[in-house]
Amino acid sequence: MRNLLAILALVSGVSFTPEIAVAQNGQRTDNNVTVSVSTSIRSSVELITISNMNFGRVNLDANELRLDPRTDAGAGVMKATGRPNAAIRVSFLEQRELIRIGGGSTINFTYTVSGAPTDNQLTSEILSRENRTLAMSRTGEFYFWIGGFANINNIQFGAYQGEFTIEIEYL
Amino acid sequence: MNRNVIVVSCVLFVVTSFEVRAQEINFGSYYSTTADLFVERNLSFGNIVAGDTKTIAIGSGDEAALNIEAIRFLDIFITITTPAFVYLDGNDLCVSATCRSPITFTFAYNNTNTFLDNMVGNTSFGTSTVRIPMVRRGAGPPKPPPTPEIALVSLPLANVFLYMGGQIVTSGSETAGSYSSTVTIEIIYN
Repeated sequence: MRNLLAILALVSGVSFTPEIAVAQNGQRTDNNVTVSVSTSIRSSVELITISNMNFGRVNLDANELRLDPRTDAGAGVMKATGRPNAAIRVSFLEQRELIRIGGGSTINFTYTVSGAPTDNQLTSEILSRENRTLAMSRTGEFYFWIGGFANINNIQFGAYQGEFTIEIEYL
Repeated sequence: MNRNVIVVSCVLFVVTSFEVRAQEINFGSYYSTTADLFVERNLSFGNIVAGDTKTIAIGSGDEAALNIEAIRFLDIFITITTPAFVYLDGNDLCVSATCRSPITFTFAYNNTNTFLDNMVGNTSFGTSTVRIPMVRRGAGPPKPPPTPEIALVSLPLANVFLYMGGQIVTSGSETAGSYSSTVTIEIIYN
């Protein structure tokens, strides 16, 4: 019976040894940091207007109004955001009327559109009214630059405004 | 008499098993310095259309990356606390599918004393806690005990890179907007 008690005491001593060492040292050598996790969940395709078309001041002596979507700084800019790398098809109404604010005459305007998956106007390509399949960028973006032309012979002096509609369809 | 002999034998077996554990020394307990952690890259999933699933794999270049700089001859415990969801505007009080989306994570570390984004030698792990040596040990006999901490003497350091990928599975009923959450990573010297 005395032997048995001696062995039990040894068991207790061994099991507590590491904890005593930590307590005597008294230092916790640890550190922590947080990593953020983020995403943007979208309903489908969102299209926002970054800037409107701007022809600046137009001389009434000019016969034609023209804005190149690939090179003119006044081209309208739109950004579509949606599914990354998705194949899309784009369609838009090419002919629209610009209406004189305050009434009076109208201008038949023909839109020209270029597009690119990155925000780089010079590398954008002209899109036809019913275009080939395009692809959103790997971050789910596609940019459009809007220009166009119109005959402005014999139009009334004033400010004109109109709308542009573009449709994006996932394939 | 016979009964006493049997009882003593059982106790001796227990003593043997405790002696094995007692041979492990937590050298980290004897150092006052802390490991330095640097977030090299957070985990950004970019845009996801509601209803879609998006995965960021380790090695894709988009995974989160953490640089752990610590005493090279010690082991560390990495403990990771992950959220189960990303929340609309980071509001973790949300309990509805309209304002949170489930997220799962994958992890890997590289303790070959290499550089950021070198994927050669990565070791994947799936648990939230892992114990690793700061520099991977090769074959052969155990190394000598570590250098003790001495005032004004800089101990040699090493870098372990920790990578974190993940997958978000949206239900389609989420409100459009920015979703976020945070992962906490704790390093303790062993």
